[in-house]
Amino acid sequence: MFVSLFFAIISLLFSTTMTSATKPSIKLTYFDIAGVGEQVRLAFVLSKTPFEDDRVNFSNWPALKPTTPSGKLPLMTIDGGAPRTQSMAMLRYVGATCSDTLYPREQLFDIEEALGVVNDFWTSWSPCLYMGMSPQDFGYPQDFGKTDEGKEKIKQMRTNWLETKLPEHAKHIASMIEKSGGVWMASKDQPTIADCAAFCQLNAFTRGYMDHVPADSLSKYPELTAFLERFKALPEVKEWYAAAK
Amino acid sequence: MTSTSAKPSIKLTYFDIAGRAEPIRLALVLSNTPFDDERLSREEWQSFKPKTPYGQLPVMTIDNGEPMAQSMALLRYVGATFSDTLYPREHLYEIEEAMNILDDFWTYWAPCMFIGMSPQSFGYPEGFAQTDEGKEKIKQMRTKWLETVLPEHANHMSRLIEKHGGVWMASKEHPTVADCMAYATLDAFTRGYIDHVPTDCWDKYPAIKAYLERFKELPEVKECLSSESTI
Repeated sequence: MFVSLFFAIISLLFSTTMTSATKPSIKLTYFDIAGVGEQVRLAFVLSKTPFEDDRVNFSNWPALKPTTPSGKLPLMTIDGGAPRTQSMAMLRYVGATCSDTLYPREQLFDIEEALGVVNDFWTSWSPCLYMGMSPQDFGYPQDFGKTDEGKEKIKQMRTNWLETKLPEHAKHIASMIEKSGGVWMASKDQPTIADCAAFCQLNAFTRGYMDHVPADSLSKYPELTAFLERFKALPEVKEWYAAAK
Repeated sequence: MTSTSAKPSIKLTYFDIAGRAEPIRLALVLSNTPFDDERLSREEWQSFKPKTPYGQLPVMTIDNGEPMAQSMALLRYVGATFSDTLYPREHLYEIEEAMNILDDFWTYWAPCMFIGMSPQSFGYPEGFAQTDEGKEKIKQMRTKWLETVLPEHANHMSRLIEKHGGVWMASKEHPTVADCMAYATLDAFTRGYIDHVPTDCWDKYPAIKAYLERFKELPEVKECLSSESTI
């Protein structure tokens, strides 16, 4: 009883609403890229939850891969237990366990609807993204992405998607933000895990690192670029990206 | 939350197939939540479409409110709101991990599945599926996927069932929303309506086959299984 009183007093000294005694100790293992891991990292960051940010070099991956549950990353190790899989499960877990505001049960539907809209965007874009890396998944020969025909196909698919599919998906995301009060994807007051997911998905379209996806791809959607700036301006996020440089 | 006294009036609108609504229907059934299982014809859909948030189905309407969309959001919402056991927060990780593993299975299958309906999404010309070359490509892609990709996913799903005492995908005691999603997805896979996917696909995976039978035997499910839905 005195131990819990001690922790309660200590927790009052922290600005976070959750006592640090209740937060599990978590290691997130992923490649040193944004990919599907960054949204989980951002959930830790926004909830001010210390975590072990374990980054795997691509050169070390072939040796590590067979030791993993499903041959994939990210992995999450909670209180030293068996590694767990699935980035979207991790995102929800961190949101629910490490924060009162990132994934509150009372806002379940709104947050899940927003996650669904982001997922629709991702699902639609995915073939264009992966055509280079794994063309055989789409019925093309394995090294298709390296042939002239393959390179032309990737260019054509991506350019076509930006022209014909991006507008509708951008509109749905903008509508979510507007419907939620014009600030965040599922709430007016606080970012949620839906914002972590949306930020990562949209930000990739402004970095210019995907072939045939110019860095100004979202310039026609000021609500989205404003959202990205707003998210980046959150103190914890600002600090996170400043430290990354 | 399982008291029947104050349940709102719920309407779930979809096509007359299992598809993306079936997991939600199953969650409503398992939680003993009465609902209007509205199924639209193609003609009715055309006039209904503009009333939906994203021009898609399913949508759910509660107490005649605004239509709510996004099938997986609706599934989680039903699980959380109308049941103590379908989506308890204490088992969030197990349930979500299972649902995402199911989602991976479907995502990796999707190009084989949808190359017929929307070949342009995968860089093929419109109408590809009607050409001889297209038909051969679909056959070859699906047959190869069943041989080389399905085993990894099936083994993964079998291990999930075994991990939880050999009963459900995320729990020993109670089915959860993960099982609603799993049953709908895995059962639909072998109904025989997908060209080149045999109906005895799961025979090689006894844990999955037994799992599907077990789900069908749940009293609420047995009573309400949509026998006419063909997807």
